[in-house]
This record gives sequence, C-alpha cells and structure tokens, in this order.
Amino acid sequence: MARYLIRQIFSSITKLFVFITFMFFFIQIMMPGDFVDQFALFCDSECQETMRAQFGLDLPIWQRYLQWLRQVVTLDLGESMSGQPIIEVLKDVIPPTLLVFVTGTAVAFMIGLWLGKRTAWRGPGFISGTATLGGIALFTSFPPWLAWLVTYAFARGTGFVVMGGGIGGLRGVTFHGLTRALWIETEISPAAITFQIMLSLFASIIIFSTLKILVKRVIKREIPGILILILIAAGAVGGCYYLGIEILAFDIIKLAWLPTLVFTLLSFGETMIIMQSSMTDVLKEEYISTAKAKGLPTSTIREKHAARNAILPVISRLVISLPYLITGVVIVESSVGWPGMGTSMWNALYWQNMPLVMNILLIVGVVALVARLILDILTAYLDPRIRYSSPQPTTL
Amino acid sequence: MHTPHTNTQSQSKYLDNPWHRINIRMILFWRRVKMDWAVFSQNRLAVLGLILILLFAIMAVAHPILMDTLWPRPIYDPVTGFDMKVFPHPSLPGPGHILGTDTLGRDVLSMLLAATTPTFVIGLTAALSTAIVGTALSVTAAYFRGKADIVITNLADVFLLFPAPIIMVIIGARFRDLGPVPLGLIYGIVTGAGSTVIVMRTQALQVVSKPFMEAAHIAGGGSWHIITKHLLPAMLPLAALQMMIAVTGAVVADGFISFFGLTRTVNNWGTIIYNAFVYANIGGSGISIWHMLLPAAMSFSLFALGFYLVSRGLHKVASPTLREER
Repeated sequence: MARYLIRQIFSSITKLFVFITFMFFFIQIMMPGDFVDQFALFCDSECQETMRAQFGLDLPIWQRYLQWLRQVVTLDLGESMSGQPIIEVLKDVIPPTLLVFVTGTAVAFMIGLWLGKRTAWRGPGFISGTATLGGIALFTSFPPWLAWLVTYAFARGTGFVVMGGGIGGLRGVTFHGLTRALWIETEISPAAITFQIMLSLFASIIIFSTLKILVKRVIKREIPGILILILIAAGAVGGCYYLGIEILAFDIIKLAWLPTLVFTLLSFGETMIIMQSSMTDVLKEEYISTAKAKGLPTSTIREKHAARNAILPVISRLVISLPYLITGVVIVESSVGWPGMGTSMWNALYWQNMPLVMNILLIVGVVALVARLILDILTAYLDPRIRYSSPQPTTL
Repeated sequence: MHTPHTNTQSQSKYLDNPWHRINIRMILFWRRVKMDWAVFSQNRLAVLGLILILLFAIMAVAHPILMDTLWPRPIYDPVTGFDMKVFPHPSLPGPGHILGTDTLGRDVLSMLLAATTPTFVIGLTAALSTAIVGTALSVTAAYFRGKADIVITNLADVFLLFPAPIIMVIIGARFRDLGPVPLGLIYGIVTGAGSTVIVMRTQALQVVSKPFMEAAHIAGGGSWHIITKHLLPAMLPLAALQMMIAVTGAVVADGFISFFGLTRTVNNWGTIIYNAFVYANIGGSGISIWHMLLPAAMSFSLFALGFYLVSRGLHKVASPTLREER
C-alpha cells in the first residue's frame, strides 16, 4: 500500500509540474505583448524599459520561469504585477469562490442524486422525462443568459448587474452592491467575513452530520434529512451571531445566493444524469429482484440496495471532472460578476498579470490532483486488485 | 463430404467480385443501422434532440437562400445591413423584421440564421477532432499496453487540467481572425486527448480482453488488421457519443469567448447576446431587449441541448458492448 501511495503521489507531482510548465510557457509565448505593453499609452520606450526591468520582464523567459519556480518551492509567492502581495490577493479571492462553489456543488449534488434516483426508479414516463429534459436543458443552457434570467427574475432592482462582455473584463475584482454604510465602519474585508461565514457553515455541517450518525448508532433512529438541513442552516446563522458578524454576513449572503443559485441550476443536471444511468444499471441486478421478492418495503430497496451501490460511479466521475470546475468557475463568476478566483484570473489574463494567473492555475491544479489522489487511494483501499497491478487511472 | 468444399469455393468466388463484397458490406451496414435506430428511437428525448438538430440545419440552409430571394442585401445583411425606413433602432418585431432589429439596425432574424453555419462548423470540427484524437490514443493505449499506455494515460490526466476556453482565447489573441475551424480544432484536441481518452480507453480495454480478439491473434492477424477490423468497429458508437458531447462543450465555450468579445467572429449568437446586454446596461430607457436576447440565447441552449440529447440516445446504442462483460 505504501509503495502504491508513493508512486501515485510522485506521478501527481509530475503531472502538476508538466501542467504548470506548459501553461507558463504557453501563455507567455502565445500572448502578444506583456504587462508593460498594456500601459504603454502614457509611456515612452525608455520608461517602458525601466518598467520591464522593475518587473523582471527583461529577463529571458527561462530565467523568469526558474525564478517563479523557486518562489513556488519556497512558498514565498512574491508580488503580483499590480503591486499587492499574491498571498493577499489570494486571501481576497479564494473565500468567495469557496463559499459559492462548495455550497453550490453540495446542493447540486444532493438535488441531482435525489432526482436521478427517483427518475430511474420510476422508469421512463412523463414525470421522469420532464425532469430529465429540465435538468439537461439547464445543464446545456448558455451560462451568461441563465445568470441574466435569474437576476431578472429574482433580483431586479437590487442593484445586481450581470456583466456584459468587455465591461466585465475591465472591472476590478470587488464586491458590487454591498451596503456601503456598513463596511465603512469596519476594518475587516468582505473576503474575511466570507471566510468566517464558511467556517461557521462547515462547522455546523460537521456537528449536525456527526449528530445524525450518533443518533443512528445509539438510539437506532433516523433523523429526517430535511430536519438536518434546517438544523445546519440554523447552526450556520447561529455561528455568525456567535462570531459577532451577523449584519455584515447577511450583507454578503444577500449577494452570494444569486451566483450560488446560478451555479446550482447549471450543474445539478450532470449529477442527475450520471446517477440516473448508474441507478438504471443497478436496478437490473439480481439482488434487486431478490430484495423485491423478499417483500422489503420499496423505500428500503431504493435507498439501501440500489442507491448505495449506484452512488460510487457518480462520485468517481465527479472527482475526475473536477478540473472542469475551473472553466465553470471562470464562466459563472464572470457572467454574474462574483469577485472570486475565476473573475480575478480572467482579469489577470486580460492584463497579462502573469504571477497571479500562474498562482491561481497552480492552486486549481493542486486541488484537482489532490482530490484525484484521494479518490485513487480510496479505490485502492476498497479494491485490492488495483494495488497490485500496474498503475491505472481510475475507470469511469 | 464435397459440399462444404465446393461451398467455400463458390463463396470465395462470389467474394472475389468487388461489387458483391460492397453489396454485402452495405447490407450488413444497413442492418446494423436499423438495429441501432430501433434502440435509439426508444429514447424519445433523443429523437427530440435529432429534430432540434434538423431544425438548426434548416436554419443554416435557409439563410443563403433567403438572402438571394426575399431579402435585399443592403437591408438584411447580417453584418452591414441597415433599414432606413425603421426608426428608432432597436425596433420591436414587426412586419418586414420578424424578430425586430438590433441596436445597429440589423435584422435580428438574419443575424440569427447567419450565425448557425459557423456554430455548426465549430461543433462538427470539435466533434471530429475529438473522435479522431480520442480514438487513436485510446486504441493505441489499450491495444499495445506497456509504455505507450502509461504515457497516454498520464498525458490524458494532464490534458484534463487544461481549461479549453482559456486556451482558445489565448491562441485567438495570438492569431487574429481565427475562424470557426481552428477554434473547434483547439477545443477538440484538448478534450479529445483529455477526458475522451479516459472514457474510451476503459471501453477499449474491455474489447481487447474479449475472446474474439485472441481468436484473431491466433488466426494470424497483424496488429493493423486487428485494430482496424475488430477493435475500431466496436469503438465507433462510443466515439459518436463523445462527438456529441464535444459539440455541446465547444459551442458553449465558443459562445462564451465571443460573448466576451475575445474572438473576431462577427456572426455569433454570443455577440448578439452581448449587444443586448450592453444595450440593457446603457439604456434602461424602457425599450425591451427581449427580441434580441431571447432568440439568440434560446438558439444556443437548444443547439447544445439537441446534441446532448442525441448523445444520451447514443449512450444506449453504445452500451450493449459495455454490458456484455457482466
């Protein structure tokens, strides 16, 4: 097992290295001009040279690459070209992305699983067909359009603007539509508040899911899922009050629910479809017929015999499609104008602010590969055949 | 005793005639198409998807015909057209302009129809390149195993990390005036070497492990013969499925980058949506933008939806080979 683990970690690091190296050279060689050229309007050639020397852009590309690599290895990420330390920028942009996309993914996953399970169980028919068509239609709809539609339907007149085209590329990465009066008084940045909201949400999730498991183990009784969800929401709100940030938190949640909703609508269809086909396959198994013949209640067969076995391919498929998340993050964030990693990477790419682009790509790569590694280890732990054979990527 | 001998002889004589051979091929092919269609048409949503795609094909064909017959070019040209008689622009749907005009006075329906062909071209280029790259790499990996397999699967994991729209934008920034073909090609290669290989290799491995492959080996078939005659036909439905998925992805990615004004494509549904949004942000004067926004956005979504639904239908066609294993 240890040998397998070491091999997988080593190959993950190699993949990350190849990815990062390729992107570094690809972006810099392919994109015309550099960061200095973007400000060339009020700068003669001599002034441009000084600027280049200041940013280190006059060095040959391989020297810049080695420098950046050294910064990554020593974990001192340095400054972005607009002057802020990269760490500060990342502290500002990661929490909003995490809040929206972790919540959105979790909600979409639950909705998708539930719908997929139910539609597969019902079999083809009007209701399942409508649900499937609806899920696929939302999944394939054009993201900026969906964002606009949701804004139009629910948030007209709240000052929420869907960004259109080049305007989005030029705007800075800040929250739009916060109540000004609240934020003038405090020193804390919106991103820090977002982080605290997330902390209380996750803490609440951990506490109440442990509670659910404990109750099941000790008293042998199920707490209904909806009650758990209400408890989690209440716990998160309570956490915000406990931290003393309730007013600021609500001001952010007032904005955050919209990108979360858009992302959920866009992504639950995929989970639903995978779950549906996986569940349809499982329902053909003989043990399902056995369970039916034994006269077990329908819900028991559906939840315990079928859904539990059908869920595994869904999870592995989702972990593998995790890298696509960065594309999704860029698309959704820049259409809704949410100041997260996607928007800031998009803007940084627009201004050719290379240190920022590369570090965001690095984080995405690390997250995707770590998730993949965990999946590989879990499958190897569950299935000894994989451990002893030659290295294989996870099958779909 | 003599019958089988003469029989094979007459058979081989019959097969020596190339026309007979083609005839047999066609009959077999047609039989297979009919069987696949029976499986495919069970899925009503997939048939709906096929109808949607046909509608878009009609739209693509209709535009040049309409431009030549009904629509005078100076008024209805999708890029430079302008109608002097209508004021103000954008105008709501009315006689002459079925979907109204946009902010620059162009006919929305004409723009909508004109954008269909490039979208098809992007989608089909992406689909073909995905299928070719994905099939070639996955078949090589699954058939030869060993080092080729390790290299290809690890490469696929790396390619999985590449964000295709961003790469399209970057290459588009370097080479101005990228047409739909190169954009589709970029998308197709990135996804073809990434996710498609991972999906298709699994299937190829299952096919390779089947008894008939061993039989072909023992009968003395070379690698090329076995791959082209036995392995590839089994992979075709899955390749078709991957093609449909690639169309959806490529069209949305292209729409997204042209929505942000990052390609030089003049005619695109993304650009129409962008114009509508800009007008909504600037104007707010009470004039509706729905007649610009709705057709373009719905075209996008329905186009992607059509191909995705067809891919769901093909999944059923492709899966019998997957299920035989159990």
